[in-house]
Amino acid sequence: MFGYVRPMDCELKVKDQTTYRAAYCGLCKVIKHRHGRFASLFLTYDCTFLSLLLLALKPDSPHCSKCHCLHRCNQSHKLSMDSTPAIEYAADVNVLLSYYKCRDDWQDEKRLSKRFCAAMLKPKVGRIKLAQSRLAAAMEKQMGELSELEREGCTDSDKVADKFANLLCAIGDNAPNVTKGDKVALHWLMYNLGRWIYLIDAADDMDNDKNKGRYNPFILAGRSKEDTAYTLYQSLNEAKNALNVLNLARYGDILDNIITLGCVQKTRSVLKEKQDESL
Amino acid sequence: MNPYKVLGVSENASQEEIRRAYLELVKKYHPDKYVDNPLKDLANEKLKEVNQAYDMLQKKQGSSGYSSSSSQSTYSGQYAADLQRARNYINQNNLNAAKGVLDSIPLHDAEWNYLYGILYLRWGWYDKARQHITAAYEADPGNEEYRRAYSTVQSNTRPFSSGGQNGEGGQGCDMCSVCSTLMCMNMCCNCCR
Repeated sequence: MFGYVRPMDCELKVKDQTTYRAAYCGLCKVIKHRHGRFASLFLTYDCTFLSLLLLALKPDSPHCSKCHCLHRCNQSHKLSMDSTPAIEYAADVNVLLSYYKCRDDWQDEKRLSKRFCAAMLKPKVGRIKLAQSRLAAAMEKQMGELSELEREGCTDSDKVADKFANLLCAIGDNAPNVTKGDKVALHWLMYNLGRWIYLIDAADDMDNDKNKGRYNPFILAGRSKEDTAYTLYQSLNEAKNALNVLNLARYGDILDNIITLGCVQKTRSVLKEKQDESL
Repeated sequence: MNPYKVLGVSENASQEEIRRAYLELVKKYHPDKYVDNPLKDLANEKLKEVNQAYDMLQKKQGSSGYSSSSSQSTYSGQYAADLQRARNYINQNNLNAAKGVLDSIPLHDAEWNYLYGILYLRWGWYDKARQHITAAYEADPGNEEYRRAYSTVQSNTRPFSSGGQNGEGGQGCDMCSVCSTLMCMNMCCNCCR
């Protein structure tokens, strides 16, 4: 379920690539600072997108400073963004999502490593719940309903995806410093992105799930490939429409790249369609 | 409001640059892209702002830009009143009320399927939306409204297509085809000599 929302590197300008990496390193640094080194192992591209999106909605731009860590240690000019409420929020979301994912995997597949990870993350989640009680409650509720539907073997892909989409909506709704005018568009962006993430994950795992006999809405519903393509692309289409009406102060090119190129590339490769010539 | 900022051009931009930026933004916020979409009002706001900014820069009175229009249709038959009510609810973006009304109608004809499809589109449940709109189109292929919605859900199996409403990029005679035609003719002429 992670790592689908990322840019298409070859189409990214060098300055945008630097910004993206600075956001990635900044998020890692903030997670490490707030929740410890173990939690920072779960750093995701998706939450980097979230922090860039939230930073783009604020009037003032974040500061960057030099960063020192083992990752990419051969590079001399490594920048990372300094902590702001937007990045801190993305860091909390990252930890919450990884915790729920680990817990879910442990319940589904009974893998001990996942149980270990969930147990390690649990105290951090407890701390976040105090600060972000509404967000944590909403996420808990949607995750519960989602696994309920999966256990029942729900054949309606819209209904299942709706749960995960609402989870992402809760993330958008509880984000700090979002103006009233942007709230509606952000909600719609998160809803459609959430739908896409859930469905692309399901489409990606289709062969694997078929072999192992696990739950997958696409296998159960028996929809054609064209139908699958429609729901996936339409979700991205609407996410892009929502991005258009947001009042972005910066990073428009990166966010655009992620939605219109990165996510589309991923959809193409999952659906095994022809790739673009530039790839 | 700073019209230059709205259009995203510098203050010493030429008329041509302003026009190009304006057309680009109109395309971005065009009502056709937001037909069955909860962000319709927001996009309309943006478009209005862009039009205003352009008008300010053009020093013209009255809007010369694009605006959206809403269509009205009339019903007949047993559930006419209910269908009209559902359509009004959808236009007001009151989706739960619209769903309640539609669920109470036992006759699932083309119009019922169409309205349900539009409802699901706004809801973000695209798989269901596609099924209902396809059903509506198959029941009554002559209806202009159904046909348009159907072509939208058919064409969007490719990313970021315009939705097949304005027939962009059709069989037009563009520069490339003119050039290639000339080149072919030139080659033929050379052969004959």
